[in-house]
Amino acid sequence: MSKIILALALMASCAIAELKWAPSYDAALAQAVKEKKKVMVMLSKEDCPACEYMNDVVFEEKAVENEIHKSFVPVHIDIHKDFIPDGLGYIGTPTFHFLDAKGKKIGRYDGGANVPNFMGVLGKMKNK
Amino acid sequence: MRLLLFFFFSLNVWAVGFLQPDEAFKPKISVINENTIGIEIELGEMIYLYEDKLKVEDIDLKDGIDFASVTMNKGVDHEGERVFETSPAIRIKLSKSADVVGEQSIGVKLSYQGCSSAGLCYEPVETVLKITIDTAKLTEESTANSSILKAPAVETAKMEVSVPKEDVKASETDQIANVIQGGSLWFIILSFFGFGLLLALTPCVFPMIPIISSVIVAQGAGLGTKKAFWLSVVYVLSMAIAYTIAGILAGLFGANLQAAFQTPWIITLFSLVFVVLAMSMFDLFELQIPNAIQSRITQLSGKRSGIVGVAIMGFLSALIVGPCVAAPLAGALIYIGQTGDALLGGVALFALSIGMGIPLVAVGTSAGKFMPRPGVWMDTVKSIFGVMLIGVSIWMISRILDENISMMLWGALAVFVAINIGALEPIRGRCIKCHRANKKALGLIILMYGMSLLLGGMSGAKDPLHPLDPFLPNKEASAATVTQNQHKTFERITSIEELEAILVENKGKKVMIDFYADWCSACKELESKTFSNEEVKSAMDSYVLVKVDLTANDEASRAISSKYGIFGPPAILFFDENGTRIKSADIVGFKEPQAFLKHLGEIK
Repeated sequence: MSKIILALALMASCAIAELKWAPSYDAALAQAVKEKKKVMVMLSKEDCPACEYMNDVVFEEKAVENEIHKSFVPVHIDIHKDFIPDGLGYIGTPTFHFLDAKGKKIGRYDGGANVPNFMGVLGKMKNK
Repeated sequence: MRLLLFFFFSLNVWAVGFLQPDEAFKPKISVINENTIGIEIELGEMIYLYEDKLKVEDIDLKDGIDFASVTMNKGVDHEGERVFETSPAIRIKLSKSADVVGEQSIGVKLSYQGCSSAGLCYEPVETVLKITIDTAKLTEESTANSSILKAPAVETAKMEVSVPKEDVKASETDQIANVIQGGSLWFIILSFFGFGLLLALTPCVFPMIPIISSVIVAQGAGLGTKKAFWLSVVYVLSMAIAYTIAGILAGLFGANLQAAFQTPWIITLFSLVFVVLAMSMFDLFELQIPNAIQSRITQLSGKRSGIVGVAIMGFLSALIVGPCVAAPLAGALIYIGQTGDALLGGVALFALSIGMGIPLVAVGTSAGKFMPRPGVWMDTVKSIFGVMLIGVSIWMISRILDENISMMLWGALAVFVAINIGALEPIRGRCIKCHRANKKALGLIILMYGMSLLLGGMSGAKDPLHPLDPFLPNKEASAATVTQNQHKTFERITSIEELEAILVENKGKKVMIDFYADWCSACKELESKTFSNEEVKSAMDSYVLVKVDLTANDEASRAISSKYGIFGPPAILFFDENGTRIKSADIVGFKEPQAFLKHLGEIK
């Protein structure tokens, strides 16, 4: 029962979450070229508490959302379901890869982070 | 020094990066004894493993050495998942088919998956562990081919390996098992035995007296007291068996009731059933098998003889009497159904029927010479059952009613009882030290308590021990402001030292710790929606409330987060009276007031 409520709550929060994830890796690169932004790839999977924390708490934060939208096109890759582009390595999830619009890697961040730490990561990556 | 260690530790996790999978999990295989091998997985700092992802397999099913059984210890609750935070202990019992000799190397395929509580989940790992064993000592399989064909299922069983017990939240079934092991089982047995004795004093048992008498008389003249006694015991025991079966059935089928008992309309329905049953105790209607059938069985009993005959009669009598004692019996059965435990059900109903049977043994042994004299007092006993059933009904429905409404119901019941035992009847005639006066005094006390419950309930009081709280002069007129002033507030801290000091200081009290930060909207939402809720505040009053402020996000914040395995705010932790963390109770993220209340209620 509580799981159903949780699922519903998650779905509801997904509906109102405003972080606009690109539909695919290629679409993200194309959009990054068009909008002169960088790409933020999040590698995640199911049954990953830290991924859930990022989605439910950190990305829900207005400041984080604004910071991402200002400089990045976010895209989400499920390492068990989606194709993982070459060179996007990980030892676990979540792992964040930051790429320029040409698809060149500019940085990587392993694991989840709380709001200020993740803001710090975003700040460092946008100036690279 | 300690602080320095924490700095190092937190830096290690937060800045330098995460452990590589081969550092995080270090599996080891070893020989435990001549036919058992063991697997341990040493876990790195902050690493945990999922219990359901941990599996072992025999890589070579045809090598003549097989897994007879696989056992492992149980994990602990971690945010709703069963996990191992320290190395699991897997034990594999080996067996061989006849043709294997000498030292042999075998391989075990081990798969596992885990995460770091610092915020990273590793990929599933599969690895093969090799070990050499001396097959000379292995037991031979009796059915050689059965286990060769299929890999044995992994069964989880309790092992002697030490598992930190305090961290494990007992599951529902364990809790019932605890009842059985603990003292409360004796309480239940004694209560049911007592109910049985009381039931024997209701007119219900009367149809049984001619039956048992005639059974014993039918054994023929010159029956010794000793034989009469044993026959009565057989009669009572077989009656007890009938009830025990009923109890076991109620326990078995009731298992599903537990879940159903969470829904309001089921609770309401059963509560009403109890009211109806109570009414039959007040003689508003009668539950009984038709007289024709009753007398037929009585006649039959005259013809039966021998121990078997007596036993059959005992079993049948349980069915005759059944409908009459139906109300209390149904109550007992529903109660047992709620526990969902067949063993408990059987034991309880057995105790009940033995209680009921003891007076019958007395009657049987004395061949009817000793018999309780019927009278008004028997109806009194029945009425006591009625009141008890109404009490159960109120107790059930109070789960879905406001506290003050159920208090009013209790009050109403008390007033009814008081008036019925004559609280307001005049004591006629001269009465010094007589029974009627005591009864009236008792009635008046019950009446006053009942009325204060009613009044208190109407004014919103919630504590049945202090029903008149809302009227106390030193409190504000409005109950709401009174309660607001009484609530505890959060103590704000930022460091491990402060938190540890608080935990030591408050030994013997339960502690709730909220990890908070200004930059965390979910934390603010928790404060503005959940912690400000009046009901939540009352529920939190039994805890010492601590707020760990992580706003600074500095070394101290990191140290305290990693010490308690908090990935980020919001997170709420609970500590029991001994200062031990109740891991299963951790909350991560926002929770609505109702969900939070439910969570608080489930913490034991």
